[in-house]
Amino acid sequence: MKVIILHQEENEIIQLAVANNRHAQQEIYSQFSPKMLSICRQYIKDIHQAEDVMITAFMKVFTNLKNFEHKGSFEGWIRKIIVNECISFIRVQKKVSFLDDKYYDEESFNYIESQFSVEDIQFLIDSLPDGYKMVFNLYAIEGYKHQEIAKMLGINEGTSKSQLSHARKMLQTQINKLKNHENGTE
Amino acid sequence: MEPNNIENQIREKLNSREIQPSTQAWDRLDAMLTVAETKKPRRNFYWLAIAASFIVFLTVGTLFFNENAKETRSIKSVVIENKTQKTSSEAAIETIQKDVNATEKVLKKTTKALVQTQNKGNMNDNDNVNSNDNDNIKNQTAKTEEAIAIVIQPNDKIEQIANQGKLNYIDVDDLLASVEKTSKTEKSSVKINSAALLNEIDGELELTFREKTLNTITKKYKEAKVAIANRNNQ
Repeated sequence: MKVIILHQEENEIIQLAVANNRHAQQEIYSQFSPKMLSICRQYIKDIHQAEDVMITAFMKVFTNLKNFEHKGSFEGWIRKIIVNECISFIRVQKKVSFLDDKYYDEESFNYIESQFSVEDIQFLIDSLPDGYKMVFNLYAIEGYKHQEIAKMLGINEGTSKSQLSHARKMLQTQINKLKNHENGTE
Repeated sequence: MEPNNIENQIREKLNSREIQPSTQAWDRLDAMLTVAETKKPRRNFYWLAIAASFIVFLTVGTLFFNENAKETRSIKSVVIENKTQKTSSEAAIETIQKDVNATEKVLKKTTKALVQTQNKGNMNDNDNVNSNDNDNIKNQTAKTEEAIAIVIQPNDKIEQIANQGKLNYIDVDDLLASVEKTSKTEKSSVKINSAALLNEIDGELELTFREKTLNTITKKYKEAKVAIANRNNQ
């Protein structure tokens, strides 16, 4: 019952926000902005730039709110807009170019038992170049398929696969560095 | 392929993370929203103006299109007529040109004769002037002048026919110009007629409506009169 009530409340708030009710809009912003800023941070290392992108993305959320069809989760709909905004920011601002490299292997990561903190994980992600980072985030965190990633980034499906492969290899080395550092061998 | 343990860990931990935005963030978003809202109402007027001007252009365009269609039909008929006239005049000109060539030859002969007579005249002047020779020379010059006159006549005819031909050739342009003039006058006249027609129709409509209302009123009045008059009757 609680889920249904929450859903009704959400619909009411959305309807108010579509009518430019600033209070309803702020309600939506307060509820979702922390998570969305976290997503932006995954793609953009500088927190201020990440926040700028998040605000621009929320602007698009409110202008397109009337087009929300209430199919699937509201958070998922917002998340898509945020991720697309991050991608366009990186492509435009940082002028990422993807080398059309067809080399990729199907080997998975080595089985790693150790647990890492969120900060370590973010550190690992930050170490990736923009191209590898985008493909890795879209595949491993957002769960998109290579075909979808290729469309979103304007690249070939093969390029997407090779970028992921490079990303994983790089992460592997970074993880090893981290582990060695933690174990105190350095 | 085993699920990547590290990737699952990464995903879970990053998805559960939240970063609080700065306090200025909402203020900036609020400002952007108010700017967007104030822009919206103005846009409606812009679209109305575009729609209105589009409709005006359409109506004007259809009017011009209908009138242009009439002009093209009239011009086509004129062109066909001129073509038939040209062929007949061309034939006439050909026959005349033959005559011209013949008369040109005669002209040359007469000029030669004239020159010879002049030379003779000059020679005679140097010697004793012979009145008979002068008379002969005068007669010959008179004859050559007549010949030249005769020669000139067909040339006049040629010129006349050429002018006719030219007229025929020019007719197209003249006709086009005249058509344009008449079409302009027609346009003006059409405009007046259409406006007058519209007024007539409007007048007629109004009249018919008036008439209808008047008729109904009079009918009802009469019916009421009759009803009152017959109220006692059963």
